[in-house]
Amino acid sequence: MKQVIKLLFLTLTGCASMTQQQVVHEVHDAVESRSGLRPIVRGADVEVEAKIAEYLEGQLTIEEALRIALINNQELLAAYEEIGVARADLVDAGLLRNPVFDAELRFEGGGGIGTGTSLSLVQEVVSLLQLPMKKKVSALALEAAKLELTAETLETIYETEKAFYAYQGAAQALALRQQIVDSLAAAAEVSRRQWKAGNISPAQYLSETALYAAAQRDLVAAEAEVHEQREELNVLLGLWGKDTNWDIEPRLPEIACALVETGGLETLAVRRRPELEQIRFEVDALAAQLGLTESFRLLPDLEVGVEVEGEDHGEVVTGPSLSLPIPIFNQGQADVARARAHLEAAKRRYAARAVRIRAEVRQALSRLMRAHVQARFDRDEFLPLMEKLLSQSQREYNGMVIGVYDLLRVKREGIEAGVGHIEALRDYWVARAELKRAVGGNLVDHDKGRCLESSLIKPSEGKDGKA
Amino acid sequence: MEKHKAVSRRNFLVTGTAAIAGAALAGQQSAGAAAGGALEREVRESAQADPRALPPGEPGVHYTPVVSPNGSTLPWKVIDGVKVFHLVAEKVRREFAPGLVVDCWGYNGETPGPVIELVEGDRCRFYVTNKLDEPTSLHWHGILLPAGMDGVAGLTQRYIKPGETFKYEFTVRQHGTFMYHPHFDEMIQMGMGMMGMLIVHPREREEPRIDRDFALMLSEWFIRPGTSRPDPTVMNEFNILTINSKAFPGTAPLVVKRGERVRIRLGNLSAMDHHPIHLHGYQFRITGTDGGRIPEAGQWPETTVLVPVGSTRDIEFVADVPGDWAMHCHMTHHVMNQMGHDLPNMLGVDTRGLDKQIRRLLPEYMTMGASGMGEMAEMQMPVPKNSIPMQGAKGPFGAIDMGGMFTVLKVRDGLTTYEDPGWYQHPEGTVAQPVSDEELRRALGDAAVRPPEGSSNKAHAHMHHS
Repeated sequence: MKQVIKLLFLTLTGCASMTQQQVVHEVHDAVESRSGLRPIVRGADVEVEAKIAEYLEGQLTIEEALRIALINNQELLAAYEEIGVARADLVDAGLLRNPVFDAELRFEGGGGIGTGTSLSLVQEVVSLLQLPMKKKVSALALEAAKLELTAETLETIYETEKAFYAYQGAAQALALRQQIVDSLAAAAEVSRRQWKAGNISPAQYLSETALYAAAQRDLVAAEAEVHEQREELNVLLGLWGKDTNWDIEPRLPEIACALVETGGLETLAVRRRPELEQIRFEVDALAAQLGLTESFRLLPDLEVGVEVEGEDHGEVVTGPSLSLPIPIFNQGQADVARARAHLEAAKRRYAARAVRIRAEVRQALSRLMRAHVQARFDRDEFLPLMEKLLSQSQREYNGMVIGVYDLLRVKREGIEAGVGHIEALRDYWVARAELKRAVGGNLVDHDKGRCLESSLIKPSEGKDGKA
Repeated sequence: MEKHKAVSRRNFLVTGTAAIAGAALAGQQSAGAAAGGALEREVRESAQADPRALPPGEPGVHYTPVVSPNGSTLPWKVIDGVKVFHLVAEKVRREFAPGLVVDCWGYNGETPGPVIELVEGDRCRFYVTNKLDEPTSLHWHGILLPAGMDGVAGLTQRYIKPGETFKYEFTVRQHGTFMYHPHFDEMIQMGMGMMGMLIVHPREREEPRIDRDFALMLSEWFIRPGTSRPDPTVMNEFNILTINSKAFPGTAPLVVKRGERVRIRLGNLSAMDHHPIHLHGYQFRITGTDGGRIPEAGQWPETTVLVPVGSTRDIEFVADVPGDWAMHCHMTHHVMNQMGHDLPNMLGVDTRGLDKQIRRLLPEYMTMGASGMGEMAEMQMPVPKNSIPMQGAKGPFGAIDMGGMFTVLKVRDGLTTYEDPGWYQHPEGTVAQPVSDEELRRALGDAAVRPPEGSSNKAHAHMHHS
């Protein structure tokens, strides 16, 4: 018997020890199939630093930012280490309960069962029978853990994408806000010179200067906000110290695609979101555990020779079918009730999550479409209109119909329109990343083999937003 | 021009038809042709309508026709001894100056309407057709007539509805310079250009004879650059001033042969402003108002005649000095085209570095007005379409930076026609010139000699296109 047990142990641990790399590999598969991005196995720290330095050179692009996040986001890396715990749990589940170390189990046998070899043997046999079930439960738990890791990886990808565009947009808008301040500076300068020449009163001059001063003040606040956005991105990229001196690509991309299908997005999300699938596995695991508990409630003792040869691959020995009339441990009932409650709660959690996910999809879609409409309107109508207005105002200035203050004001209004456009563009790209997160990956329906977006630009022009 | 014996009204009535027949043949535009019998009948018929009426006076016979620069004279036909005219009140498009076309209202396709010429004693009939979209009426400014013909809508007649034609008829019993204009919704209708000169010549030719007789109608408008319609509700911010609805350089010159006796009749139907019209090079007499001729002893000598709103003034002089003589309203704002008001005052402002700073935001920007505005006329900066802000004209010595209520009296020797003779060719030594340094030094000493070019501190350099 001991011989058999030992063999079982080795087999199981042997199996378990292969799965860490395999687990990670499977997670990477899941991430890639959803997002199109494949995380690389993080190698030695030195290699990683070199890679990061390469990415940070020049202007940081979205692709580079995502790659850095995948190899350097510390929270994500921690999660990947946690998978080892799940694996250990599996190993733990596979390990036979050693009666020497688990006194409670020895005495769990209850009345009538003696101590000593025969008791151990009995208990070992019970454990042997419990083993497949526990393995199943743990396997389900491992699947759940893999999905959790997939979810975290995707979350990291999309949060990075959102933070990238949010910062890019904020920095681009800041540059324009600076121009607005410059226009007020110019107006203030004209008024200062007029005042010096004795052409306007001190009050008139100070009035123009006050507008400029107020704008300078507001700009400082805007700059602070931009810096905060930058730090958000630094956190996601895991950067600190000298590595935070990167420059981002200065311009948000123009909108390159339009959603052609919005009807099936919620379904896609419910199918694909790893968090939801994870709860499904948790429900299954809990159900399995319930089966485990329920069935082994009825089987505290088993006086039967165990056929172990066929059982080390984790084949499930059905609990309920093994319904031999045997005494039931009284303590088991509370466990069952608890397990059942956990199961029902998990089912409700699943439903709640699904409802939330659907709402996330709708919300992201609504934001995306609004931003898209705004950005298109800006590009096609509003900004050209402001250009024409400026051009005509320049003519009126040349014809001495309006003065320099009026002309600068029109210019300012045009710049403000530009700021609004950048904000719309930024909203678009952030909402698009959020939509991808909400639907659990790329805007591609793999089942139908169809991209949900159609390109608005010719392939040779411009840049597509990544992934 | 035919010369003939002066015929006084009294003479005519006593001597009868024979003298008339001869006189009539020399005239033009008389529908009831040459036969003495027909004319006799006409005379009898008009005398029946109004015993005071005289046969229709004729150009060349009773008067030298008035010249309306940029305008025309209203034709008439004689029906039963009555001079019959047709005036159509309607929308009109007018080029005020090259580059500015305006949607106005006027008469017979013109603003101001065509000059009406009558002779004292004429019986005249005016058919006035209203082709506007609102009612109108026609008032004969300064004319003595039956009250019901006075043309004040609501007071002396019902207004003329759109599409209707009214008839005005009266016998002219005065001579002088008068006007015609609507007397309904005047702020709008007159503000849009409805007005005209009405000249009544005396039945007897005046002595001394007037050789050149001009009619000029003064008006003012607000037309924002980039628009094509005046805003007649503007009360104080007029930006385009006109003579016969033309702004310099759109105003045709007054061409006169040297030695001619000139009369210029000025009418002012501006909404709000009187105009002191100044003539260079001459002293003239103010010889008449819309109240009649001023007796010689009372004729006011002037170089500038103030023409109040709602008045006419006649001036006379002999054009004995040749040249191109400016004639213009002396209000400085009235000789600029379409400049804005309430602009920042940049006069005397130190602009060093300013343009550079502003050009970072506005690449086409240029500070204007720091050293004055005179050179704006020369610059060809893009301005709103259909506008002539600050625009002047090209003159023989460079740009003439005038606009608005400005024209030129051209007095020449040896003219054979009254076509524009071009610029005056000044005799040698009669043109103001820059003086050489040696002469300055000789006359005023070394201190008077200006420093060499380039050391000047003016912002002058800014003005030339960068």
